[in-house]
Amino acid sequence: MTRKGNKKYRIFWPLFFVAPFIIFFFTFNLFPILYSLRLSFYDWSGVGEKVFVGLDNYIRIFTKDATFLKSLGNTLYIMLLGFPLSIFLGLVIAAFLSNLKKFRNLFQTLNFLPYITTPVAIGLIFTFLFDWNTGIINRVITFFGGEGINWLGNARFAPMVIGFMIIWKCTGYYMALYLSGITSISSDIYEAAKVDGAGTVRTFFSITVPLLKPITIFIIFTSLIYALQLFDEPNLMFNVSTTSIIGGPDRSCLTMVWNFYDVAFGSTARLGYGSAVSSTLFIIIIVASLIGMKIMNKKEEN
Amino acid sequence: MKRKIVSVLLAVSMLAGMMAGCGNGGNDGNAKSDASGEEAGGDAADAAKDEAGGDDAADAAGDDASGEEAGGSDAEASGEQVTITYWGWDTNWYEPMFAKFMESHPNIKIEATTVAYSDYFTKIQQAIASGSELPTMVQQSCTLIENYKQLGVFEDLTKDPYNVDPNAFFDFIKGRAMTDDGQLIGIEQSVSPSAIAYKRDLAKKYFGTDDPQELAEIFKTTDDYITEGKRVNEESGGTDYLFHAGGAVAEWLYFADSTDVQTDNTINFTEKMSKVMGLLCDMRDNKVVDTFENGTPQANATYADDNHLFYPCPNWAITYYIKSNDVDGSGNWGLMMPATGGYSCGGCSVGITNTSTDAQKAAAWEFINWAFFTEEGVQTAKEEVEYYVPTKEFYEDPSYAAGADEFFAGQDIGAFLYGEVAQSIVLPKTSVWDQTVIDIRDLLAVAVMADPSMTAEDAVQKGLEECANRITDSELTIK
Repeated sequence: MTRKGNKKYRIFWPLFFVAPFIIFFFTFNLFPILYSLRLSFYDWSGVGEKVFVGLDNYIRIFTKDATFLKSLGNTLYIMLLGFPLSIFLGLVIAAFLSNLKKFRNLFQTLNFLPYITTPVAIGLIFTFLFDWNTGIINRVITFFGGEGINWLGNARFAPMVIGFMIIWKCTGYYMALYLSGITSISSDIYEAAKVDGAGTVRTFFSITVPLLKPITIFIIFTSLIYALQLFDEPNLMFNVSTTSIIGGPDRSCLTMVWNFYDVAFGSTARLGYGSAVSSTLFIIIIVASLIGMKIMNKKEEN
Repeated sequence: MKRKIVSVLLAVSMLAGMMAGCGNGGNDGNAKSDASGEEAGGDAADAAKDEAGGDDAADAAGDDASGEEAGGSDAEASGEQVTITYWGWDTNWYEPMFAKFMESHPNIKIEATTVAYSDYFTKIQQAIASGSELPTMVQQSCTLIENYKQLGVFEDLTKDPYNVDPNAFFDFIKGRAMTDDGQLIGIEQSVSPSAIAYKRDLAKKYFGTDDPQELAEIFKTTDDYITEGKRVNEESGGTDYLFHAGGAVAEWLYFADSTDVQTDNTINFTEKMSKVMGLLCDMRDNKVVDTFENGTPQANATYADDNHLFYPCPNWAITYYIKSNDVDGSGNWGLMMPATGGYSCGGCSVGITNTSTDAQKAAAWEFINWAFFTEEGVQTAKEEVEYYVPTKEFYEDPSYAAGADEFFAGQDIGAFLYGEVAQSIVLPKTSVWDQTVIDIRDLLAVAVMADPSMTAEDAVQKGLEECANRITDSELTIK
């Protein structure tokens, strides 16, 4: 192979093949991100002149906009309500199913079904379940002599319903991930533990849980990003056809992304301010991801 | 070499595949809208292209004027088919209206797309910001009408070739879709007079009468709703309520209040909302209003139950809510004057976008002219949708706004809504912050109904905090 030919193979063809991706990445990813960053320094409603306001939008986010800080708090609260329990249940169910001799596939599929259910249907199902007047949950409570709870109209209970929805939806997915992890653990280790006299619980905590650590870290890491981008679940739950209440009762379920969507495209439609909110959200997710990656790398090194 | 050729072909086909979605949507739209335009030589499609080119703008304008003069008849004469588009959430209005219009105007095809009310303004705004195609006709919600005026994408209907005289409409509504400099950006679909709808069997049971006049006598003041509503709830053992949802009551009281949301640089939130929240809190405390959330499927199901008596009812709610939710309720409904007097709730106007082609503008005007200024269109709105146009001349014939409705036990709904209620309406001045204040009102109504300890003062205070977060115009004072 000549020198010229080598160069052609080393530079031209690789560039040629990655070019479509690079072009589309720059056009549809990088450019919108940078354009949105630029917009965040303007006051613009999408129509008419853009007015340069410098850092005013960012100053407003952190000093005047109580809704932004509330949405940040709501997101973290809902995240804590839903994801830890969901991950734990996913692990327990996976461990249980891995030992199941019969109907394993059936239970696997049943548990995974909520994850592939369309979010619109999930929103409707939970609205009907938790409705104050006609919901099945309150019917059960009143049947046993209790008093119906205003699940969806009370700021204290509404985030709990969203947390429950996350548990219901995500547990099956985490179970599937853990199951694949468990099947990759060598059966020799379990047999050795059995020979040493370890019981089921001891085996679970001393072998299964430690060996699934990389999967657990992956799940926590991806859940964190998912949680910070939470939008579908609360939005569908409270987005009824005629009223326009943003964020559920007392804005208790207004997540960061929903707040961004509302500010940029919803009730007030301020694209400049919305861009500033999205840029702030972007930075928060990047920081959270970097911390997550650092922890993950550290664990892997260990 | 062979491998090289294969690689290049693969790469090109991949690239072509990815580029396939990047065609010019606008061209597609034109091709579609002027599908049969080929026959018509230098027709409106050409005019639109000329317009884009800029050189022949004068030609385009010329075409425009002549086209408009004859409106769709130009298209009709040449046998050319014009397709126009409409986005709307009001299927109850546009489906029968478009169907009837297209029967008598086979050369005009109206393609309607249902867009949710909550997404509507955003979609219009995004279409403008991204430069994508707007519909030919836009439905403009009255609570966002000031925002629509700012967009600058609508034809001025007072100008040539439309030449609409705003004085043709009722005085109280003629200026709502008009900009400060006198541009009329849309025609109101109907007058939107509102009253209280009631279930006759329950009214007889609790008040001994189902006559609208006698009921209006019983409910002469807002306090009467409290005393009578409390009695209904007690007599029923706690199962029956006068109203089904706090949100519906708040909406009625809000629109019945003639206080302007904005005066100069002041948002009059406390003044506007104190009475609304005060009465809502009283109703909640006395079990006059049930705890359904307005507009949800569960709340809509109450129209057909035996536990809720009164429903604040704009004219559009008759078909949109009552008849669609209580399909077996024919003969069991009535309409009465509220203690607050007649009021106007909701409603919207229809405008023509100035980004449409000349042929589309002409066809859209043909429809609007038919719907609001011709006997056939006006009668269709009346008979199919129970909408009565705001055009005054039709009311000169007393039989226009009259007619018994069997669903309302033969009550003359038209005469009542348009003869009595509409005449007493006083519309507050519109503001660009109308929808924001309405969003906050809905939030407060839910909070008041969810928390029995919340007072009207608490609610208003909470509302003021919300205003501070959501009303971002630093030149405005929120009171």
